[in-house]
Amino acid sequence: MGLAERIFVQKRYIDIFRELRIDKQSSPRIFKENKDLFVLCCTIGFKLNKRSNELKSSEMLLWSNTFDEYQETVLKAIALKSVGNSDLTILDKPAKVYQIAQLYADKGMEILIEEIFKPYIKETKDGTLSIVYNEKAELLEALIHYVYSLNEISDPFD
Amino acid sequence: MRLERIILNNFKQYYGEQMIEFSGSSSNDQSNVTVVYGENGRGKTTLYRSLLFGFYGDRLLEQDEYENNKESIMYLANLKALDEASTENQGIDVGVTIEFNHMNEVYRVNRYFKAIKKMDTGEIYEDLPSVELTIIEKDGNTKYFDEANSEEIENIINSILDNRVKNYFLFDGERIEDLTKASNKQKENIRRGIKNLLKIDNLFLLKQALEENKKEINIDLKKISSGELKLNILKIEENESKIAEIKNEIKNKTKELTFAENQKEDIDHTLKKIEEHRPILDKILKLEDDIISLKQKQKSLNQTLVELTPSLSVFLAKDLVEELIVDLEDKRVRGEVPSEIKTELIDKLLNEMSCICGRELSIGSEEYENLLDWKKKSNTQVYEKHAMKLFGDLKTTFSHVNYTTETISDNLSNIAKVEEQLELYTNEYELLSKKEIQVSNKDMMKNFEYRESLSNEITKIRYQLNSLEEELVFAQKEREDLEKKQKSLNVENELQAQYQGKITLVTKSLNALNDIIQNFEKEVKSELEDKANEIFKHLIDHSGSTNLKKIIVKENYTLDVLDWGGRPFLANISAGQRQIISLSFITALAEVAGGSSILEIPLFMDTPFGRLSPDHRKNLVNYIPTITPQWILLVTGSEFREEEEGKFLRDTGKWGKFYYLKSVSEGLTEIRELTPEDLPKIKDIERKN
Repeated sequence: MGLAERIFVQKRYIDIFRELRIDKQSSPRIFKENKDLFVLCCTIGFKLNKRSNELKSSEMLLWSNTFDEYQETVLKAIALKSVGNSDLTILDKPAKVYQIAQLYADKGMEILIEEIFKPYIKETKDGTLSIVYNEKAELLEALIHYVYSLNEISDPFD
Repeated sequence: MRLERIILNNFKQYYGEQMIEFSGSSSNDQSNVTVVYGENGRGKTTLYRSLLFGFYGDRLLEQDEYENNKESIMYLANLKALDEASTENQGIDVGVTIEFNHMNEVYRVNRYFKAIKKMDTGEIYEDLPSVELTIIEKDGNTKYFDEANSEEIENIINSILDNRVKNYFLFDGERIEDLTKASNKQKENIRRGIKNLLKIDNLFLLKQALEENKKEINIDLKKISSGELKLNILKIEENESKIAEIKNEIKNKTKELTFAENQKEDIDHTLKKIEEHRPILDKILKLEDDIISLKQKQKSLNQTLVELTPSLSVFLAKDLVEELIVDLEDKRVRGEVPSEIKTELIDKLLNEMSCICGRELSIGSEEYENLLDWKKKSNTQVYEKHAMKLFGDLKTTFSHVNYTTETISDNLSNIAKVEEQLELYTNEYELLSKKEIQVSNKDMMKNFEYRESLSNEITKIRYQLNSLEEELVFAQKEREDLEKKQKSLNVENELQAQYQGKITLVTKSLNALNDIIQNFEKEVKSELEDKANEIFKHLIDHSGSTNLKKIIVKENYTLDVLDWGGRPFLANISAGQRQIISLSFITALAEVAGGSSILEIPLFMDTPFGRLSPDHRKNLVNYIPTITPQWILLVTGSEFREEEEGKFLRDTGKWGKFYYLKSVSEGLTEIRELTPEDLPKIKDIERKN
């Protein structure tokens, strides 16, 4: 896909990405890299067929060339599906692919917060969110179970 | 001792058997002077020699030694008798027999030997002399000693007249003055002889014995004073401090042991209380361990899950991916998407310039144009290009998702199992912990550990105590030995004290004895001096009495004289005066030794008058017979004048026997017995000759 693209998320979610990636004694990390939570959010948004219309006050999270080949493929597949299966030209337009992904991810994060992270989320006055948890929270397991449960939901396109 | 007779048998000049009988052989005899008259060389000195040979076996006289006659052989056998016997190849008997009485017993001593002269060579051989002694005791019994008892014979004769003082009594007038100028060795000999004569020899013997005794005690003392006592005391001190040290250490170790044992007891008491809970405790501890390991497992599983989050992130796209694959597959089947093979085949054919039917392709040919057209159709369609790529990616993504789904599921289920187990253990742990254990498990374990270390400590201390006890036993045994030794050393010490006491006693005795001896000697010397001076006064002539004040008996019983100025004067006096002094001393000695009675030793004088002044001679002749039991005078004609000595002697009434030595031929003398009255006849004969 040539040169790498910047991937953005809402500024208020940045801390959550960071918190879940940093490994601490009290709160072990849940994701190795930002891209993994980003893609997960994206697939959740897509699975539940929910995406934002636009990305408000966003901040760059990562470079697109950090995605692994499977994530890259999935993001393309989602973009393709979003524009209709027959228009493969979107595959030539990475910015379009990532833009679609950002919108899904934005919604996906919103859903994850609502479904999983909510008890641990703290919101500052300026609306920035942070997450405070410990190992007993078993966040990752909860996430996995949640993801698995979503998979049981029938394909919205079926 | 009183001499009775002397019998000579072929002795020197005296051929055959000849005899002289002596005046005064009995204390009842009025006369006690025997005069043997003979010129020089007739055998006067031989008589003297025969006496010494008879009594002591002396072959040589002192004067022989002075005259350096040692080298020449002196034969005692009579040469005439030897010659006569040799003609018949015979030997002769040679000997001297002396008969004397002493303390009412009669003695007959005979010393004899065989001699032979070889006719052919003229050599003379004399056997070693033999001796025999016969004693007729008071009760008439006879004792006989022969050569086998020669030592006893010697002792008997010495007890009567000590060999060492013989020369005082059997002296040669020429030599008498030697008494005043004897050598040191002779002086000491004289001294001992005089002591014996004075019967103080025993005192000296006692002194000598005591001195030897003292020496021996000192040696014994040295033997037992080896310093061992001191050494042993030192060792005992060392041993005592060692024992004290060991005991102290035992005390300390026992304290430590008691403390450790008490501690252990306390712990045991506590532990006993919880001993019944031991299984539970063990279980709790095991649960603790299990929980820890489960948590570790949980953590590692969680880590794996984190590693799997990239896969999780695409998990929800599985259906989408599958759907797209199916869609693309449909399009391909409908020909909307060239199969991979078709595209590759066109490229291959174009590259190799060969037709599918095997014919060669040539550029510009119909087949070539068809292929290019076909290929162009495919290349120009973007759709086909993306579809092909996407199709492949979707396929690999699909299989990846499938695979990781399983992995994640397995992990989840493992985590679930671990969590379940963890919960179970945790619950059980909490349940057990709540039960009755008040002491924390760790404290408990500490107690166990402490108990273990205490047990080790106790074993160690006990071992040390055992060693110390052994050491103590050893040290005490050593002490016993040392004390035993000390006891024996103390005995030695007592012995030492005893020896010291002995030494003190012996020393005291010696000192006392020395005092006694000194006093006695002093008294004896003083008495000797008094007596000698008394006799000296009787004997000394007028001129002598004006010069000489006093005879001095010195420490070693030698003599000196002092002049009237009190100065030693011996060196200045005449030979005659010397002789008088010696004579005075000898007669004094005889008197002192005899005590209240006169000592019965005959005075045998060989040519005494030669050097004496007329006054001396008169004095001598008058005085000597009164103080000596027997006086035997050997005189020459020149010194024994008819009107002087002869007259004086006759006047004393003491002159009993008179013998004339007649020279028969060269070296042959005959003893003829005369009477004192025959002296003028002899003088007449001499004058005629």
